[in-house]
Amino acid sequence: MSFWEKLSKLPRFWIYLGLLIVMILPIVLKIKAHPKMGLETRLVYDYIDHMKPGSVLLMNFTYGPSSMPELHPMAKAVMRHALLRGVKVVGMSLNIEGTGLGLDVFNSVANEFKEAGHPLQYGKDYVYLGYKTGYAMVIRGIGGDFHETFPVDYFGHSTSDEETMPLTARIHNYDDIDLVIDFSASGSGATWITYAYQQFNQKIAIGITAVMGADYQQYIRTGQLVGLLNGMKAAADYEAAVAKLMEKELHYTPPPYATVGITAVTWAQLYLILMVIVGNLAFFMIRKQQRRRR
Amino acid sequence: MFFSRTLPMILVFVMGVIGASLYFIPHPSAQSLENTLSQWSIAIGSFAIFLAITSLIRRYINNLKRGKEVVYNLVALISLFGMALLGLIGGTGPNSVFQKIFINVQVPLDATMFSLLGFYVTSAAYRAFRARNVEATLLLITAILVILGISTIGDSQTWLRNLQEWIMNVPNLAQKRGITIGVGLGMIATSVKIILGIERNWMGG
Repeated sequence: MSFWEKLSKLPRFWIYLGLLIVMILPIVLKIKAHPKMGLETRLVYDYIDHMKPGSVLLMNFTYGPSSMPELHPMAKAVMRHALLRGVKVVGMSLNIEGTGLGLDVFNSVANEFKEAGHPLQYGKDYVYLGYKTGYAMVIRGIGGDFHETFPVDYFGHSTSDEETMPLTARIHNYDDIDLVIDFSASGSGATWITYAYQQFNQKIAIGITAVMGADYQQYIRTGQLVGLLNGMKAAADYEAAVAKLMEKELHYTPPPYATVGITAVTWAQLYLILMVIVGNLAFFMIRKQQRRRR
Repeated sequence: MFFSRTLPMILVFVMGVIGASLYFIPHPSAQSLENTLSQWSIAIGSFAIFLAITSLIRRYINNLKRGKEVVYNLVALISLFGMALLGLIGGTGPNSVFQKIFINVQVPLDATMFSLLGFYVTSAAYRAFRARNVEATLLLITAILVILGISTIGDSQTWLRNLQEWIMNVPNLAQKRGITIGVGLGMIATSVKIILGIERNWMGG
């Protein structure tokens, strides 16, 4: 067996080991990237940056742990940004697994603001509604009557109680929500467009995994989405930009996730490309040798 | 026959026509009816979860009775009831045992399963992604350009980012729109067939 034949039949173990090393190294060594914000991400960033203090951002979590590395830091960065601009944040989930992850986002960001010396008040600055079954009908239901769709929050507090929950008490339907951002690893973004945008003209942005990017870019051109956060790269762009804002305004540095993760992803992508090139090189060399033999 | 086939078809026809019409009628009374119907759907969704859990438990218990994969079925049942009990007794708040188990057990398990895909993709790409003909070569080059352009490498190489954006915004977007329109028309056609009773697979064939 020639060298090229051996190379083309390289055992999986070595391919896996190589990938493991290139993925783990940047995470262990905490090698941070300094990404430059892409256009689609910039659209979302600028929209939230220009939201008036007191306006309402509704964040929906429709993803599970499998897409957590991409969407979790993205959601945290968006929530930090909104709160820095005085925007009130409401969270909900259309997915059972997303419920616990959404709660983790809200809890982590609230703790970060507390550590930074700017504690937030639950019910006034942010509210977590939790999971509601019904998918499209929940999205449609918010447009009809918010309190009927979500009579209580995740912890069982009445959403219409003006004393303990002033934030949700003033939300009646989409007219009182300035932006919806859907973090999703499924097709829920299209459902938000169909029901919330088409019927109620609600402004919508979405945060998705990189493999879904091609499905949603068309909605930016048509104006149905205000912007798109596409995969780990967008998460890193957003996280880096908001970290700078937090350092400047609160003198606090939030823990980096996506800015470290994107280095691991870039290294893994380069490794993948290298493997494809090596695989093709072996393929052509074997073909050349076979032609010579004939 | 009436209750198993005719009545469901009449209900689907009536509710389908009403549901589709209300979407296009902006009158407040129509909107109010649509709100009520959407709240009904949410309530029906809750019953669907109940049905799913009941069916799952029955399946696990049946497997246990037959002695089929006892350990796995037992673990699934204990996890199901254990988590439900923990949530009911200790609550589901940020510092609850329920949330801690979710974050520290469910999340790493689920993420690990999915991360294996990255290894399979790399191995499969190494073995199967070959430039055997013109089409495969084009696909290979395009994939490499898009991967590089969309990553942090594209941040410093403007030409690469511009090329990647052109690929995504022109040829890719054109085919994607075609597919989306096709899927949309297909969904409308299927919905009309269900409402009119032509398509009856939803009743179990």
